[in-house]
Amino acid sequence: MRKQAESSLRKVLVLVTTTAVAMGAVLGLPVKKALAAPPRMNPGPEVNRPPAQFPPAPVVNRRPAQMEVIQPRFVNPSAVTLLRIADQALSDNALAERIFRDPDGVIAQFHLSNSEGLVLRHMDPTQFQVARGDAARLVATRLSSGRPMPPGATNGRLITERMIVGRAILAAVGRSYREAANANACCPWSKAIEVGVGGDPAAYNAAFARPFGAE
Amino acid sequence: MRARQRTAFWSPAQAAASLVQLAYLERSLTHILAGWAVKMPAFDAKRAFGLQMHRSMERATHLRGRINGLCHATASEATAPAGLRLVLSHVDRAQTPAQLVAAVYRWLYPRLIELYETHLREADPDGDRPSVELIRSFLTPMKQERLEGLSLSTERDNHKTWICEIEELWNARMMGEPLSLADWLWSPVDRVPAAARPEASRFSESGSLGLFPVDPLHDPRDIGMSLHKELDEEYTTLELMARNSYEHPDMPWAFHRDMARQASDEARHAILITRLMTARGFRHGDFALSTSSYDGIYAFEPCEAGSRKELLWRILIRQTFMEGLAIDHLASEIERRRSVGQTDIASVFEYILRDEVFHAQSGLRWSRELLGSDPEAVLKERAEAMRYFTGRAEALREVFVMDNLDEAMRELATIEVSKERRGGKLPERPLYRTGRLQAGYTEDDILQVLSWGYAGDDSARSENL
Repeated sequence: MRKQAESSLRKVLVLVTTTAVAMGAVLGLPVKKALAAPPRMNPGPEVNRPPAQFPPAPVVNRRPAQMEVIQPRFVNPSAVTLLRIADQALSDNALAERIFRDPDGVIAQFHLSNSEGLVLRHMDPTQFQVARGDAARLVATRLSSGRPMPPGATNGRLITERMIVGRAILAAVGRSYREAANANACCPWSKAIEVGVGGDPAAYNAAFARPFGAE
Repeated sequence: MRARQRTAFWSPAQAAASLVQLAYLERSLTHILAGWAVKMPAFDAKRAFGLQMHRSMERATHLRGRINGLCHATASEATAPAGLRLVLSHVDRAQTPAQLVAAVYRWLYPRLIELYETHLREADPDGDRPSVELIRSFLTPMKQERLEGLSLSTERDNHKTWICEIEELWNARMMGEPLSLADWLWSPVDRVPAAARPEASRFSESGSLGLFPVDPLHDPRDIGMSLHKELDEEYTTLELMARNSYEHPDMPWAFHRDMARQASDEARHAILITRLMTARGFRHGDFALSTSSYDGIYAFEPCEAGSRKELLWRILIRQTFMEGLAIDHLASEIERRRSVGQTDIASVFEYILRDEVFHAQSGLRWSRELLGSDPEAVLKERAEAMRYFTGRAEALREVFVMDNLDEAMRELATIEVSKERRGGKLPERPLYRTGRLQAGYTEDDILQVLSWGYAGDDSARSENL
């Protein structure tokens, strides 16, 4: 019976891990990085477990997080224009060169906001090159896996654009935990970057996936 | 006709046996509440558990002292029978929060109160006066705790079958071999990697920068938001400290007292912060919740689940790194809030600061203890734990940004607004040296956090708090 309880926990572990890897894969992250995210879940300490009954767990959040996280009252930017520019630059070397050498001109040409301009300034030739390579590797891995993929998951160009823009945003904001802490003027000690599982019912319910009355 | 004065009372050995049973029940109650605080979805239950686990731990400690007083002269030992462990560990295996509430407040508290009252009736009122006085001081708050506990559940189900099961075990509680103090408690029955929150709660997304108050000093909404963030910290720390105690029953008694005290402090802080929020028209849940400081510091890939190393990392990250920064931050905040006339917030932060110093002190004590009092090892292990923790956070951040380009752009824009308001400068984070030293940080500990860039040394700052 202990095996049964452990198996439930293992399922949760597999679910959490698989989700992280899948998410990382869609985004073009190395598997190692995606795996770094979730805390490992091991079965609890050994106890004698009589026949298992798995009662319904208490109700916790079932709704996906809504993004009230960032206040939209000051600005309402999006990445659409940046993705369009990155897309164009992938097949237009002259534009790519101008992004690297004359970002102000490109910012003016595309009427970019301050934030968009800031991101554009963080695009460089190496980033384009690395993104192309990473995206190609990712697409090859996906195609050879033989598994069904969501639309766009094997579109190398789309993945490259997202990688270029995403990495430029990260560079503009700062990648490190300390930079994130400095960005937030409020409470640096607590959660400069959110690392919670956000009430994930699977992780929570694992606590209740144990038999009744065991000693 | 005058009633004859009673002369036959319990012997010291009988009194000690009664007190052992009471101490056992109190210690087990602490253990159960510590394990369950994180699993209770309701915040009022978390607060109640935090406060009550501390009170029951302190009652158990007082009772232990009195038991020693009764047994020392004869070099005897009063022991609890294994039957008691069977009952209490069964209560811990409740299958739902409602079952647990029923078991603790409808069943356990009445039994405990009844046993205390029996002791009052049977003990020699003069010979065992210290016990009698102790018990009298316990009874009124315990009855209040029970009422508070009963109000945590509005369920109509009286859990009859469940209570009958416990009652059956209770009837056989004096059976079994005698337990030494080290064997009183049972191993944790679960791992809880995610903190429970009320139904339909909204959460800050993993990898995001979370709530982002741009002007937490002047803007009413941002003040509410920063208090909201603070409140989440109180609950998650309560939960983590409670689990630290629950998952390591074999740690020394003093460790559990520290963890229980901190859980209770965090519950009081939650009450204080809620009061400030209510006065400003905010409620918990008005913004997205964060369980980051529990979920993200619960388990670590390099540490075996339930291991001492895992406990050490939790303590190092939460109690010695984060709570150290909280000491610095609160000291600054008190001055800043005072300067803009927010005296109610300043006053609450002053109380919280006092407690934070103790929390960091406790973290330093137990991390050093776990590392054989080797100060070098503490610095090294803290660096390793932080490297892993920040690395994991940064990996999550990367995933979030890649997957949420628009949200990441909004974060960036908000950061820019925030920076603009500060005149392009980085936020000031002066270290509060007095508080740090009072907590027991060594100069090397202080140097470590300064070298990491999370705080700045500001010797010119006011130290008069």
